[in-house]
Amino acid sequence: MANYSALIKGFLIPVAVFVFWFAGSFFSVWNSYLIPSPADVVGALSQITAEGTLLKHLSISIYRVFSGFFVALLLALPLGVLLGMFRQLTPYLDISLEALRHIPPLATVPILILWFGIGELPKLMIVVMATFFPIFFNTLHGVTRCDVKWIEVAKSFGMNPRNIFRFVVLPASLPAMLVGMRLGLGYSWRALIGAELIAASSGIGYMILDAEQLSRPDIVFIGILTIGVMGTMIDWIFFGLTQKLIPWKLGEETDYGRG
Amino acid sequence: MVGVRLKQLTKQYSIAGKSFIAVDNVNASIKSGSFTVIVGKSGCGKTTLLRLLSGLEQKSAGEIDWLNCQNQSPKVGIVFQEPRLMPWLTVQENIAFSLIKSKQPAPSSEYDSIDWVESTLALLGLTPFRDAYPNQLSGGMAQRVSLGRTLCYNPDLILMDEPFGALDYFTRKRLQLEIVDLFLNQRKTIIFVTHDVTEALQLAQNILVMDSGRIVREIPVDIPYPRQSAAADVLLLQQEILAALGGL
Repeated sequence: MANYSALIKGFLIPVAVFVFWFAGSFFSVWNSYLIPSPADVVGALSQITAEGTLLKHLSISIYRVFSGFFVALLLALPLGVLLGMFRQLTPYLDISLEALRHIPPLATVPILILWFGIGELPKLMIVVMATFFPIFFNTLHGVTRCDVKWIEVAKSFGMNPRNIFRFVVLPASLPAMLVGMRLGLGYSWRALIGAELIAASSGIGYMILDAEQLSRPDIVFIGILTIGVMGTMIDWIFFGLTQKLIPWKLGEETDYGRG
Repeated sequence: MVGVRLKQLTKQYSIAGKSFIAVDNVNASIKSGSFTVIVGKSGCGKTTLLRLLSGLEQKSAGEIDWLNCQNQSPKVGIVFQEPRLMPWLTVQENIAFSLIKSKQPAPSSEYDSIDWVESTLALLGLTPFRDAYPNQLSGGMAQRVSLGRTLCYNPDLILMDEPFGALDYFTRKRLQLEIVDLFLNQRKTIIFVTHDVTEALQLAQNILVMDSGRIVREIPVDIPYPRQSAAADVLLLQQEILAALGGL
């Protein structure tokens, strides 16, 4: 974020919202139970931070997101590459994958709990399901869209299929793979919080649900804001790290969808 | 250096159930160390002929006999119509791309400065741009990198498929002179395809005029380089080629 002017512009709306929130609470425009004042929220934040509750739930959620993301990566990247390289496999998997893609991971929560209890496994599976498809489809897209003209160049230099894959197909599809991973990270957060709201005894989603039941809307607010802040930070870090892998795309408008 | 003899070389495609003959019974002989230009209108089959020679297309019938060639098949390098540079590689890496061997796995630092790459960069005046990515290059520069990549491969035979077609007049003129210089210095066999009769006359020692998949005329050009495009002997040959192509 070298561009300070963009940074200032970006914070205009959050600051305005905060001022509005502060003023509304200060002049008791709304019920402080429904919308707790910034002071209450900051108080609750320092309380649960000091207790270690926030950190505990946050680290568990982050752990779940990354372990799920990693498993999804291990499944989706090879499968995307495989299907991209061997088009003759497509008819076998096309319908199944298309149908699976339309099932929201959260719809499977009841059956996952029935089968596996409320341990870590169902959450992991939810994250994997949410993350798999963006990585898979973007990888597939990247591999299938690799320009035949580049492959011809490699062939004209007598390159064998293995090296064509390594030196042409792989780098050509890397940007698409990274887009998929970035989208997948965003999806995994959303799906995980949903799963934690339904069935969990830890994690940010559980913290929000627990606060609701204890009538602590200030903690609910903290939970919601934490999700937004963490999601944005992870996205920035991922983007920053991966841009170095694709230096030829620097300065180019990249059509990254926001998760 | 290799030469090639084509015997009744034919390439037939079928497009939407209809068969289409792109290269029709072509007989030609290309001497080793010569500069041959194949000239013809768009769709006359000249690019297909080049792709048959490069091995990117399989012939339907006929023979391609390599002359003067130690191995069974010679090293053939091709420069395409478009630069076809890998956008993820720098200029230097793009040139070194042609050196990735297919037999053994490439070394981990496969794009490191190899002497060959170094001299190719210098030869084409690309050294200052070695770390640039293709999207930062002008059209002429990109085509020069593409040429460098093929030269670095050190082929016995260089095929060029309208490599300057998309360039502006001045860049094209300059690259034509550079190609002639390269040819005179390295004495590689070059087969160059173009639709531009003037370009053909600047470059060729031997011109093959192609029309509807056939070679209709072979015109040797015994004029020393560099040639003036307005010189009387050049204009005379130009008339002859245009006549062979069916006039203006």
